Amino acid sequence: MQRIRELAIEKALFLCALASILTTLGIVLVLIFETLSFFEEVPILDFLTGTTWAPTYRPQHFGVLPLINGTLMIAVGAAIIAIPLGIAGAIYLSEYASAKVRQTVKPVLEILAGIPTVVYGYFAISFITPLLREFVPDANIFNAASASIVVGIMILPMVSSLSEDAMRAVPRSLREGAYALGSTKFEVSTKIVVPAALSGILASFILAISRAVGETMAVTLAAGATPKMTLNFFESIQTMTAYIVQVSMGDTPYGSIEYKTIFAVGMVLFVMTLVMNIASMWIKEKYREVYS
Amino acid sequence: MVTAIQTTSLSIWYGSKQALENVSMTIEENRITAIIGPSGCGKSTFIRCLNRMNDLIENFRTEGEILIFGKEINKEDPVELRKNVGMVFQKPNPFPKSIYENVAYGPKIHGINENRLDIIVEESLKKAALWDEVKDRLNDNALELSGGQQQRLCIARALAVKPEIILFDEPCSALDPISTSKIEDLMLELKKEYTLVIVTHNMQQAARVSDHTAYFLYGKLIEFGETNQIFKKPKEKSTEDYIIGRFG
Amino acid sequence: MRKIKGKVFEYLCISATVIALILLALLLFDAWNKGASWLSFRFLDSFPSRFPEQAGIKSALWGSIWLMLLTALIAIPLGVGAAIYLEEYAGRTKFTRIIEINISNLAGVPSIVYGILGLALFVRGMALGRSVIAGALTMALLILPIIIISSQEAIRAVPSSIREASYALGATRWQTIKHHVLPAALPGILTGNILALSRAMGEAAPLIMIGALTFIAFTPQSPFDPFTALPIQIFNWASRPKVEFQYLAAAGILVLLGLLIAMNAAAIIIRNKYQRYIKW
Repeated sequence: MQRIRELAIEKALFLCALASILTTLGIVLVLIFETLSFFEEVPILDFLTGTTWAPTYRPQHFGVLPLINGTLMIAVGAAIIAIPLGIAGAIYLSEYASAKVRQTVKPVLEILAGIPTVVYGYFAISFITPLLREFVPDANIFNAASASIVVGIMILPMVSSLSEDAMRAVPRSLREGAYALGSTKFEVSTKIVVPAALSGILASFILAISRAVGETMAVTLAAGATPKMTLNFFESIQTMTAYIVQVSMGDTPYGSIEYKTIFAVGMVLFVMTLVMNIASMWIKEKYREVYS
Repeated sequence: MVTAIQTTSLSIWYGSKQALENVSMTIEENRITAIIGPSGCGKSTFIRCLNRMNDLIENFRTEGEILIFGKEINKEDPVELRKNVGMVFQKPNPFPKSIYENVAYGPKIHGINENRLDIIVEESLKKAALWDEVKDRLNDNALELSGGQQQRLCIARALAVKPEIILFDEPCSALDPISTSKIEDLMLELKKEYTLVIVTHNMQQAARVSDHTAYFLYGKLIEFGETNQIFKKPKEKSTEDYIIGRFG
Repeated sequence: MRKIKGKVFEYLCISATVIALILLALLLFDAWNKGASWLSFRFLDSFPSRFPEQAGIKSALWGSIWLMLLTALIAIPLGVGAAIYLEEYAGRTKFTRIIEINISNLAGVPSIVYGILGLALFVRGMALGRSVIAGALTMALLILPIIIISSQEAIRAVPSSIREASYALGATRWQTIKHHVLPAALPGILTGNILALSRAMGEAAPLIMIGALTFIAFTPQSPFDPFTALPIQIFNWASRPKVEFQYLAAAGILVLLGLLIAMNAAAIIIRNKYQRYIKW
């Protein structure tokens, strides 16, 4: 009797674990199904190489490159802010800071990471954009730079915290060996610790950029709704995520080609972030330093 | 003289690594049997077979027979077996609960009536020579006790389910000499009612308390006999070398 | 020369950290500045309106609360159950490894993709429409990986000596889990759950996808009702050009942040309270 109960409990818990596999299956199947349906009407080459995105205008254009361009601009801009600041902060917290400082700063970084993205979006339009336009009067009221800045702040804690974890995992003995040879703290940090922790640090960069690629609310509020091929950060653009939001908020009839663009663009987004996440996992595993 | 435990050609593998080879041994009821040998010789592996704790390890495989009071234990339900064969571990591991709850846990899960728990807890703590020290603070957290007291609590906990056999896996190696001596005295008392098997790397301890001694090396049982004989006139050269300290 | 290099570098690193702190302070200060004067009980108790002076956050607040409760009901048992299975029952097989890699990947999928899944599966596929329950199911899937990972860590931290002691007394696997492992892991699990829910509370993208509407003048009465949520309302007000709506958005942000602070504080208090009882 008890045997049966034990077995039933084990099976029930197994089903819970299975839910995660089903979620992935769900995402993949939904995206594939609708995307294939989309490509029945729009040639895949037009989609992947076209430089005009105008599904709601007549004539319709379905080139996804402008959206990818917008997304990458935000990601690169955010990385320019988050990576240097993040790694510097991580080095400071891991190698220089006293326990007390660490105890105060780490919670602050966690708070930064926990702030909802819509709040960051608001911050971008109410504070950053006006400030930016003081210095660059030609900047559009919606522009890529403001969004990049807040997304950079948003992913900074990720870079900092993951890099710091990687650096703290480097054993003391490595550092002590270098100090014993007369190295300064700067030399130990940059020549010993960072290279040893490199795989974890790089993995953190990729994860953070992946997060920036998937970011939605801040870019929707601040970066604009005009998909175009440009490299000018002070113009308005549109990211893949912002486009998906725009279409779902409008009156898009179910089953129409505009409706299907949600899934086609969603597929590109999913594949991009998936590749980046897998790359970061792979880098972490493959180049992990074995210390003993 | 009743046989409590009988193993026949017992062999154990962890994955592809063989840990025990062809061990055949008879352990008598109401006696203390000591298992000695250098690190890695299979002592702990052996006694963990007797209450099937090895089942919890992956890639574990066994061949051969183990009879406890005549019943082949690998065919039995391990949960029932462990009620009958208790274990005390090397590092005291009381639950992070009160002293009372620690001792009462075993009987509770085996369905003993709530009303009888108080009596069982008191009995077990008395048998483990701990009652006087804790009777006024049964609701205190067990982790507040000293190392020696925690180990005696673990013994009381094992006694509470009324086993016939108790296995001790290096029970005193984490304790100071005074606690060790208290527990050794306790073991001599317990053998009147129970069968004890103790693994120890302390040969003096084996000589002090045990009736029979088994000497293991590299997973094989080299020699088994009355403790007096093993320590004064070992039959195998290897046994003699280990006992006089030529290696180990 | 080497020493100077070192010092300069140190100050650069400190500045980087300080910049992060300053930015956080600026953000909060800005929100407070613009929104504090619009906060009032009337604000909490009124529905959105075309007229800023009359607008309030009532429907969004209650929508968020409904959403959180339903999401918790779905995600917590599923997530903790999966964690228990992975840590206590499953062996170190390839299949287990695949499940864990899958969960790590799911944690990195953009939240809007979960919204797309929710739209296709719950709103359309299961015909639940634009309801609270569809939103809760979607959010549950979103935070499931977080709950599983943090619960796994809490369970893993329980020393194996406790489990061994329990098994040696003849306890079954479930008895050991129920009486020893779970109680010991509970503070960590609770903290993880609360943090996951607070993450869900701030998400807007998936809710937009499943159609949480922005002009709702009622609070949900059943799980099948349409709804709105705090982040959606904030987003809606922030996108309007009229400056009063910007202030309303700021006030909404203060309410949202207030709730999040409360939840996170609860998590920290729970963790500290139980830390005292469990000392290994």
